Amino acid sequence: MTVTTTDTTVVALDGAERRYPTPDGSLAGIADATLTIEPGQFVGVVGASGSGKSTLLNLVTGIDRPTSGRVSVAGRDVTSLDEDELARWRGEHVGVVFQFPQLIPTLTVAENVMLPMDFLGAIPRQDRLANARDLLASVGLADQIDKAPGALSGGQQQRVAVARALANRPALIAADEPTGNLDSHTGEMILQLLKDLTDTGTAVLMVTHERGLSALLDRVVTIADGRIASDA
Amino acid sequence: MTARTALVKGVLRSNAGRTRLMIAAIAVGVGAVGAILGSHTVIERTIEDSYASTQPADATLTLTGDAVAAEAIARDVTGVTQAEARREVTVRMASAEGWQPLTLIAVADFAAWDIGIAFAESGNWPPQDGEIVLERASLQEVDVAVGDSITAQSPGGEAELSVVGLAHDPGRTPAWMTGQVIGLVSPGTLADIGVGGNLTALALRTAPGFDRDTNSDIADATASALTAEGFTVTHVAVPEPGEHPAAGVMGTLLYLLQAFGVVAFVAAVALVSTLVVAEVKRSTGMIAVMKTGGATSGQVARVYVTALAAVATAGLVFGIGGAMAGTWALSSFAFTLLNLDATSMLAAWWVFPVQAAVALVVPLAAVGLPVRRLSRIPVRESIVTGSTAPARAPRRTVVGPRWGRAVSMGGRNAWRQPGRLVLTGVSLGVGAAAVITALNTGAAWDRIVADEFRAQDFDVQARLTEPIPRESLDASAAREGLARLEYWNTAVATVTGPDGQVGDVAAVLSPPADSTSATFPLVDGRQLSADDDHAVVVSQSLADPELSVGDTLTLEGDDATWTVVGVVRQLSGGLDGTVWVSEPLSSMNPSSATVLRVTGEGEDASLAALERVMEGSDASIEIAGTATDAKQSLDDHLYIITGLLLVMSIGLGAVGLLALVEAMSTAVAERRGEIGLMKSAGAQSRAVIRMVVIEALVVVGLALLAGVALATVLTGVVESAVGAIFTGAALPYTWWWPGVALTALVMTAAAAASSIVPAYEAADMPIREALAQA
Repeated sequence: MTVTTTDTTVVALDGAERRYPTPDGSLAGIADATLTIEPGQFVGVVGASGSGKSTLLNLVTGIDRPTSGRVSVAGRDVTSLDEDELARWRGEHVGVVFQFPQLIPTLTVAENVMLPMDFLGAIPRQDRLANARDLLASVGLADQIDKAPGALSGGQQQRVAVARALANRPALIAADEPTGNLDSHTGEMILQLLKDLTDTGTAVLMVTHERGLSALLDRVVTIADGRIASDA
Repeated sequence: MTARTALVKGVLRSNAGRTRLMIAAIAVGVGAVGAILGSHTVIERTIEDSYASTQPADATLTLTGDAVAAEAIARDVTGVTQAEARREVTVRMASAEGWQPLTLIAVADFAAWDIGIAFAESGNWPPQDGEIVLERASLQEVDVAVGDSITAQSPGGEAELSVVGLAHDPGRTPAWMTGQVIGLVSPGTLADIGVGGNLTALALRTAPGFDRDTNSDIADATASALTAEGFTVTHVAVPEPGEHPAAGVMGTLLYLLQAFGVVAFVAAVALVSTLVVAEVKRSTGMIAVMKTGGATSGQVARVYVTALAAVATAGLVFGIGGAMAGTWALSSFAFTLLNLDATSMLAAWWVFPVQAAVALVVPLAAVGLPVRRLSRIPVRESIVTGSTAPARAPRRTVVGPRWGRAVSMGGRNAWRQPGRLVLTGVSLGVGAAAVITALNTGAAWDRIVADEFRAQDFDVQARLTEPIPRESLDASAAREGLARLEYWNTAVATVTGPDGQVGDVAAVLSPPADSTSATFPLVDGRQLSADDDHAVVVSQSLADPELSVGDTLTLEGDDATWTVVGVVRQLSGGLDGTVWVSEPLSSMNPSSATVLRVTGEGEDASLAALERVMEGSDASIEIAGTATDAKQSLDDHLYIITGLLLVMSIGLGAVGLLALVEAMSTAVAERRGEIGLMKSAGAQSRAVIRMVVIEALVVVGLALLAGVALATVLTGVVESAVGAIFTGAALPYTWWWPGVALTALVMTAAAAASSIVPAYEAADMPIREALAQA
């Protein structure tokens, strides 16, 4: 398959492969992955455990590097970047939401949201708190900004994680089973939040185990045995 | 292999690097405590054994006449078990360094020498007529080797002596303290030098177990018996039985070692506790796995206690090896200082249980509570808790911290584990306190040496072989360009204060009333003035604690009562002390002088001018030295003091640094998830590094504050002890801020260095792995 991109394509994988060394030889976590995601698309990645879903997400977010092939996000070939360039690129273009909120306990809720802004430094210092407040308001946590993460419920913490992922207005939100540790009601709230983001042009790539999300998702990419089995 | 053994191995192998670090830390703690306590026991035992091996005299009587003839009379006195004639006389010798005092010891037959003996060490023994065997420590004072010749000179003549061998006298104050060259010669050699071949002292040994008072009574009875037979006894000296002449120095050295031993123990306990508690806390996840598999709390605890015991045993084995090496190094240093040879370098038996306690009991005690607590955590909680580090809730939101978010986070992280912060701070703070104390003590010494020589205005001091009339050299001194020539009288006398004898052989100096070179720094009272009548100023070593301003005293060889008007600090007088008198003693000839102090156009010029002046005199210079030489001699003491203190301090500093390395490495391991998150949120490597280094710097900063607080006390203790060793009185409390700054600089550099490895580990940590372990 040949990848076709436009000037606005957010994610483009072209024959990306990631192999891991094992005592019995190298094993492909994902192989020959070719995929594009356009702005405003909500793309779900599904598949059995160990099929390669998270590996795909890690390649897109620069958390892992392909053994071969090409990964381009926001018009930038990720494979050519060193670690620091990658960190800066990620801070600018990609927001990551994990299964667990991964909030830093020594920082307040607002500080956690400001963290990517502080690292990137693109937003003026005096505007960061207002931005964080707006983001937290957008996830329904305007009144929690000075609290410690530990004082929030699991669902609230995950919403803070979403707000943090949005801190620098990235082109792509990559979410790795963001509702996997939440009750169904809170999970639905998070999914709707991600869906709403796509209305602003943000692309969302979400790894999930959940079925029955077709109403929310624009596309579902199915991974089986490390390969993209379908993309519909 | 049982499941429990496999689990213990698993605990140890799960992070081999950390296990090795724990072993190293326990070894360093054990080594530091063992080395300091071990050297204490070795030195203490060696001092006792060495001194006893010389069969020291219990009393020495100085006579007029031939003491050989007095031996039989003395042996008949009840309580005297042995009596032996000897002679100890000071002449001068020519050397590359100029004239130096040479103390000669002679006995009738060295082959039958029985009291206060020295041991042949190399070359020929015993010395024949025209030969000299030097006490080995003298070689520190003079550049002479076996096979060379030296010129010994007295007012009565001079002789060329062949240096034929070296001997060791462990019962004598080390040469570097007295500045005297010591040699063993035959009575015939004494006669050749012109001081007469008679032996004029009688050394006595009394029955074992007698105390000083009893020995004193026996010495008095012997003196009476000799007087009855026509001898004149001019001086009786009765030392404390079994006490080395330099016992004060040695005792204080041992005291210092004890003090540092306690400090090292505290530091080691803190270090080991830090390690152990951190290791157990890190294992929460594994505990969950064990409990899921059906392990009871007791079984979980036993796994960790067994693993810890294995680590502690390994640390103990390595630590004992290090302690033995450290004991050898510290003891060797002390023996060089004290001119002693070790009888054995093996520490006392009780040092080993103490080391075992540091290695085994302390970690097990420290681990008890956390293991008990963690082993009782419910399974679900263990799983959820994972290996993340606890944190206190932040108090408020800080927007765009001025130094960056990573710096701000580093600062906050330092406080996340208060217990670990305290233990690391104690380990590091103790090391800092020791280093600051060492530098303060060096500065105190430097300061009082500078004060002493700033107060004295002279180029050269010379002791003459015989008295010369005062003012007899004024005309020739003026011709030779000497601006000032002071005539001093000197004597050596016992000093008796209101509560009894306070000085055995204090130097009594009678300077001219208008002297400009006798003003030592005042500690109390005032200096002598021209209109004083029987007033004295005493050095601090005599005054402390027996004499104070207003007290009266008497001086041997003088019937008058003298009033103390001032106390001064004097380093150059040594431990015996000095008394400055307002007028000559009745035993002194007021119109003559035995010491000259001259000031001219620089020290070398003044010394040369004085030699020329003395060519026209009947007397000659016995010993002459410049003010710089005297200052240099005191500065040499400084290197010894600071050297010893710094060696011990650096050992303690190493313990503290290991604690810091461990704390930082643990902190990074605990926060792998957070670091992964930071990187996923756009943090570059330098931000992560900065965060870790800042955390280390905060810990170091707090430790430095603790160290400074501890050093304020430790400085007082050590400066008092060092002052007592070398001057007989406490050094003035001195706090040297540049030393604190230097310590802070070194600690900051060490913090950066010790955190850099964990910091880079954190920065290089792949996000995927970091998050997987969160």
